[in-house]
Amino acid sequence: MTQPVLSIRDLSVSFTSSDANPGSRNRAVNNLDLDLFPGKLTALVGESGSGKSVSAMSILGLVPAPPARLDSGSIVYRDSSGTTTDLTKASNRELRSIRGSEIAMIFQEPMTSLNPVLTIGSQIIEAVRLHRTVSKKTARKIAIDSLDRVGIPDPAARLSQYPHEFSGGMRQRVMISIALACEPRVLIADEPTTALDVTIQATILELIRTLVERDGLSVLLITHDLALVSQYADRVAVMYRGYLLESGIADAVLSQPVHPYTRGLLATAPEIGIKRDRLATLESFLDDKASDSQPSNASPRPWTPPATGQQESSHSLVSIGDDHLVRVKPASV
Amino acid sequence: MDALKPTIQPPNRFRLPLRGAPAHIGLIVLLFMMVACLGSLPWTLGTISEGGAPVPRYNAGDPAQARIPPALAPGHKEGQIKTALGTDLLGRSVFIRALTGGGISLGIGFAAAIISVSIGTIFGAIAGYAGGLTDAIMMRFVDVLYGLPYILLVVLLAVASDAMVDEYVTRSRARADWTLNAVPQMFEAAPKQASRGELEAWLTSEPEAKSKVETEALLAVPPRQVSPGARSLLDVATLLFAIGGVSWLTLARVIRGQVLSLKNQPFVEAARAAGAGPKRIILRHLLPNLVGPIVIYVTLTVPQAVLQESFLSFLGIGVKPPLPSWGNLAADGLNEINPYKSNWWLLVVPSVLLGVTLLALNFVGEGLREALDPKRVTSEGRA
Repeated sequence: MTQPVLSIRDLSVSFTSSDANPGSRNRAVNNLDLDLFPGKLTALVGESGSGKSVSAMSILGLVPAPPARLDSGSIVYRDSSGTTTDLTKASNRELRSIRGSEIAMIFQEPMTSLNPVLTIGSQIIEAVRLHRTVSKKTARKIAIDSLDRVGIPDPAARLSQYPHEFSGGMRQRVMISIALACEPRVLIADEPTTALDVTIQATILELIRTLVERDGLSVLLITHDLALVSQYADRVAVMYRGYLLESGIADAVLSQPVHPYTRGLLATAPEIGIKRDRLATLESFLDDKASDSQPSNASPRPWTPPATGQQESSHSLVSIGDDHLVRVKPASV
Repeated sequence: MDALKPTIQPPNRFRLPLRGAPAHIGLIVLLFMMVACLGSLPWTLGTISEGGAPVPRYNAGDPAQARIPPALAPGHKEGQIKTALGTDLLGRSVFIRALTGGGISLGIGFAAAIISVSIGTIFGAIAGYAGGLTDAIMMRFVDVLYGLPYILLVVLLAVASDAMVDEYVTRSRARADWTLNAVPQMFEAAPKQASRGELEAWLTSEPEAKSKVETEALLAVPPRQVSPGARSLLDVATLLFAIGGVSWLTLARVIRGQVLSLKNQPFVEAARAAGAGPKRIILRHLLPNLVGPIVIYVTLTVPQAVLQESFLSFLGIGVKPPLPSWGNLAADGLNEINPYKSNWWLLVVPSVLLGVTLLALNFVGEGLREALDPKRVTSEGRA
């Protein structure tokens, strides 16, 4: 298998609690292991507050510290020449030179992620000239090309327009074109289509998918939409309460989920055409009994994070076959 | 095919952000004043020869033509433009002096506003963007300055900088130091290893030695040759720095507040994710968003600074005569008001000009705020 372009090992991030007790910390991400491969789209799924966004922001060192603190772990980026950099130990200057040029990010809100008082063109050109020493003329050409690449008609004229003259879907495409202007090797997309309607969502994801297949871009797609994952992702990682519970090839994880949380997550998706009085919820899948009584030959017994305040039992991430990881209790217990 | 392609019209970029008739009238009056006063400065400051000696035009006058009332008033003698607004007690043209004074007042007003806005914007933006302890310390400093009486600070700064300019020109302190160092070497009789006080006492008791060492001192540490024009320029510069240096506090607070809310906007985070550093984010992404409040503040600071300058000149700390400003013209005019025969035009002309200009500036500022501040609901509905 090819080497990962970015590998996260044992990453833990915690935040200062806002309450009076300054010693207590809210742990947002616990011992996360995640690899991103070139030419693969990895989906990071989980419910709100499961630590998806914090993990993604940590990659670029964008979590505000304080209140956040990196407790442990490494995030190793391997550039095209094979040199590795640990982003958790990189200086601000090093991080700035990697942000945008090697690892780019697009955000949830395309409506507000563009500076309202600058033209689209100046924002793309700025992103280009931030990382490349090119003339204004060349930068403009690159900007036109990158707008063209994301399917914006009449890109040359569009350059002199302001964000408010674009629709939501077009703004997200502009965001993507800014992110791609410096030809990064990794793209982090933090719920890029949440604010957009379904048809625009499909266009944006098709576009990202094309970039992955054609240019060998490595994408980390953060989402809680399982339909998107099954349709577009190569690999999937499931997070819950800051823990990575299961990860692997998307098809395998989605068709044969091992962890009860993953199964629960899949079961909650309503199916069109089947009428139910109540939609399935996750609670019934999460208590210990459910995971104990599951009939998977008793060998890997999946572990679920305990509720707040309860003692945490020991656990580890083990491989259960072809590139498929799941968090389990120790076998001896 | 090309004919079917939708064409994108370039947006109508520039519209004067001004609302209401008073603002437009104010703008016209203001532009007229600026063109008249600032535009005529080269002419009014230019020298003419008067009795063989070169004299700047604003200071030229014939005492024989003193106190001529303005045109249309009873007693006006000539239909000349120079005396159209009357003459003062030295026979100088009030018209020319009011023009020069306006140029100086407006110049100081705008320059002080620019200084104040630069300091305020930079200070506020850094405090707001840095946040935390830096912000707390910087803003407490502003609070302390706020607590001090505003005009007292200006007076203190004006007096202190004036003293510094004075020392720079005359070098009297440096010369005194030189003298006291030279005394023990020049005179055998002088006390050795003595303190300053003892040396000074010995010098006063020996008038012959004193006059000798003072001649030497004048040769060793001569006063700097500064032309009167340069001297008045230095005076004006210290004045505008004094005014600009104390009037940035409000803007610093406003800008800090704006930056605090702007820095959490997603586009700032997006800029950081694109690899932009703090300097670039402040200059390229935050500053363009702050143009509205800054422009409004400038239009409100300019009249404030003009008034400040006039007030200081009125008190005699500001622009020094014979250089006129609207403030010291009015101060001079006030002395001419008396029950026997009041030369009213000497007070009325500068006061009316000052009043009209300040009013115009305030109207323009108000009109700009109406147009730029989206939170302000006007009679025409939301802006």
